[in-house]
Amino acid sequence: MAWAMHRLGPGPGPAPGALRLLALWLLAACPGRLWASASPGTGVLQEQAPLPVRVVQSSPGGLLEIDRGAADGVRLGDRVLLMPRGAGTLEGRVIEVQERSAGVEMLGSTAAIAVGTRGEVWLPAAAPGQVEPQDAAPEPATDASPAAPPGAAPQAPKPAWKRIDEWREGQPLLSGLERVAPEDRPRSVRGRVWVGVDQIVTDLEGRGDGFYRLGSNLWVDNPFGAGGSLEWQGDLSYRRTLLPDQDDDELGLLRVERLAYRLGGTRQQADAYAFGRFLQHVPALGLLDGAEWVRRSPGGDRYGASLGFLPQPDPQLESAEDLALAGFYEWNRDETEELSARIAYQKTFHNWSADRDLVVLEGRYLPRRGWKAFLTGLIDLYTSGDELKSGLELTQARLSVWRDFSHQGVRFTAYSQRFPQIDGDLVPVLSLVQLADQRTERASVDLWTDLFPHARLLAGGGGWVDEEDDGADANVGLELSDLWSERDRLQLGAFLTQGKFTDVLGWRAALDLPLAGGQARLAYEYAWQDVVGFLDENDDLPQQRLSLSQDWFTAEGWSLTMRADWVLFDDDQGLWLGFFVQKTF
Amino acid sequence: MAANQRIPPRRRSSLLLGLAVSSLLLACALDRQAALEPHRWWAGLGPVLPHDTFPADCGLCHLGDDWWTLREDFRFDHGAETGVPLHGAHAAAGCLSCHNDRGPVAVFASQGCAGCHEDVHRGSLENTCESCHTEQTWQPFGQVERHGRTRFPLIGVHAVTACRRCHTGAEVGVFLPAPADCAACHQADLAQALNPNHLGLGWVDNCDRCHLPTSWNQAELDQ
Repeated sequence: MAWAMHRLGPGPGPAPGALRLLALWLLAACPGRLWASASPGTGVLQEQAPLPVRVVQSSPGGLLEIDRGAADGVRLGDRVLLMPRGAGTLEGRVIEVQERSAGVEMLGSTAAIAVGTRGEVWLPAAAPGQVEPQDAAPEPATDASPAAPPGAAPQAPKPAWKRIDEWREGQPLLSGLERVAPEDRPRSVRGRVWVGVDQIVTDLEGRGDGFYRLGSNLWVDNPFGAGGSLEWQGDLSYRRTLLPDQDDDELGLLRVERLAYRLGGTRQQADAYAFGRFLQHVPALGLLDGAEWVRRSPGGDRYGASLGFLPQPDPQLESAEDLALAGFYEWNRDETEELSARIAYQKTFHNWSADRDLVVLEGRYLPRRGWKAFLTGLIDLYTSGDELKSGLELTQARLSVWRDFSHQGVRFTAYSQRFPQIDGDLVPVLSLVQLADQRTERASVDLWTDLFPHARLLAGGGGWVDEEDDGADANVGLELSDLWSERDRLQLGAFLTQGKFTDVLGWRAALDLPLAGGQARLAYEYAWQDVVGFLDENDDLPQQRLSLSQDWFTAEGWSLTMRADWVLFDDDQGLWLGFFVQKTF
Repeated sequence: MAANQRIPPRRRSSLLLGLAVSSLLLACALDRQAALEPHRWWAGLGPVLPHDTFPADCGLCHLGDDWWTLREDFRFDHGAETGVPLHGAHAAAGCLSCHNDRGPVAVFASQGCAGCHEDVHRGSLENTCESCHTEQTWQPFGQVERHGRTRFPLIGVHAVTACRRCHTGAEVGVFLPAPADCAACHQADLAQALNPNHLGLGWVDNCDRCHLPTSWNQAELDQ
């Protein structure tokens, strides 16, 4: 009725006859609404509805501008409720109306109201431009929608925004906006620069290590006006290891990890090309110095081929010895790519002689809910030219299957690793005996369940097998969260490992603590180690570890990580200090 | 001929000119249609950067008329607005780092980190990146604890040894299980062990009979 009084109040207005006609029309057209207004417990707000608004401009004098105006039904005197983050609900009145904006005078201070603050203007439910409330699921509670303060009017459910024009195929952004093609976009650069130092000192005579690096990672979007991107990643590094009774092992180098130009592979362009040094579309095929072509078919499957040299996976990334030719096919069940499978084949020539025949199998099932699975398998095909091995060999496999329920979770992981017989140095260099026998297989399962809010029980176990031994591990722990502040976490746990040379029994505690502008982690571990093969009185070695790390980061893109790991073992000790500063732009 | 007689030459020229202009306009229009076409396979998954829940006033975020310049005071609470809070470095990332022409971000996000980030470990490790890396600086943490679940718990000096000393590909992200026998990493130590002469005596394996893994130099004889 407030709306009616505002419109039909004193002053020049419609003639009494017209008023009667209007009243009769309202009676005939809106019986439900009148009935609703007459029902108990409703009141004024039942005749009004909120129109979501945003603060567009804020002035120190207390006058605000909102992004809705007369075209949306806003009129002088309308009540405005603004919900600045963390400051409750503030009230004001519309004192000025433009077609697409309105001026609002707040009843109190406007200090907490920033540009972008959300709010509502209460309008007559049938006002022009008013959107119809929809039966949408309630939004998650956020700081931006706090409970109304005592005395404030109860808030009606916020109506969802309604699109004026429905989005149609071919309209990548707002409805009606033309797509800006990648080649029409302005050149832009983003990336990061970092400096890292790792220093290890021990009280063992002549033993220590240092690793220092200065690196950068750059992406240049549309560098040449063709819509592609240029990627660079590299670092300048120096490492020095001090070894007792031996010469220091030191190496300094400038390493180029990525230097590639990529073109296509977007929604608009089904073909993707990459040139330079880059990681291939099928990562298991490795880094490549060469070129790759990938096409996405109309059905969503992908296929492609690549040609180039494989850099060796060593610090220098030495290249030009192993020429590789590869092709792959990727199947996707549908647009979501939740279920997909890949098969790839790579032929390698070491110093121009035929070397490795590798088949890569990958599969993943990653639905948003339910069980998820991830599988990678590398199969080496041996020909008559390979002396030690023949036929097919599964040289690397990894399987992960997991599911998170609302209050429980489970994860199963298994891997198998053998070393292929190849001429190149693409895997660690082994003796023939090692090559024939070496294998590692492991399976584990990890579980978690919420005991009660902010308390979670963790447990896990696994077993391993290699060419001559086997063993197992188990752990159990309790994780408590939000103890002192939001997102802090305390983990207490015990663990047991039956290793190849050592059996370990221990416990640890770790505390993750969010701090202003960063996060800290403090952990302590105590372990009894039983060295296999020694007599009982000489085989127990206690070991303590204390680690402290802290991250700081700023909104300007600076971050700093510092860490210190102190290890006290037997009668000796070592300290690992790390420092990493990074600027992202 | 009859047609020529019905249309005067001047009108014929105008008609031809009009036809040419119309053809050009049609070509332009068709070309613009082609520019709008795209999306293809992912068309059904909606726009690159959904704006449909945003305020009507574009000037809240955008400055100028190129859509590329955002206001200096631009702030967007991704968690509050979309229900997907961004943590760590993601909170400071540019919108187009994720919402871009490559495809719908929801598709990639559902694939976890590997949906957007390269798998620098080349499929050799698990896909739960966050269990080893911080989301802010991507620095690894907890390696010693995780290594404790393998056949080779890191004890003694091994717990303060750089990963690259055993895993030769570690610097470039390739972590393959290293051979666990001592000589695989300590070949040089073995060659230098002359008192007594290990190689001469044939002591080339089972090092743990005499040496504790805490430090290579400390031999403790089995009494």
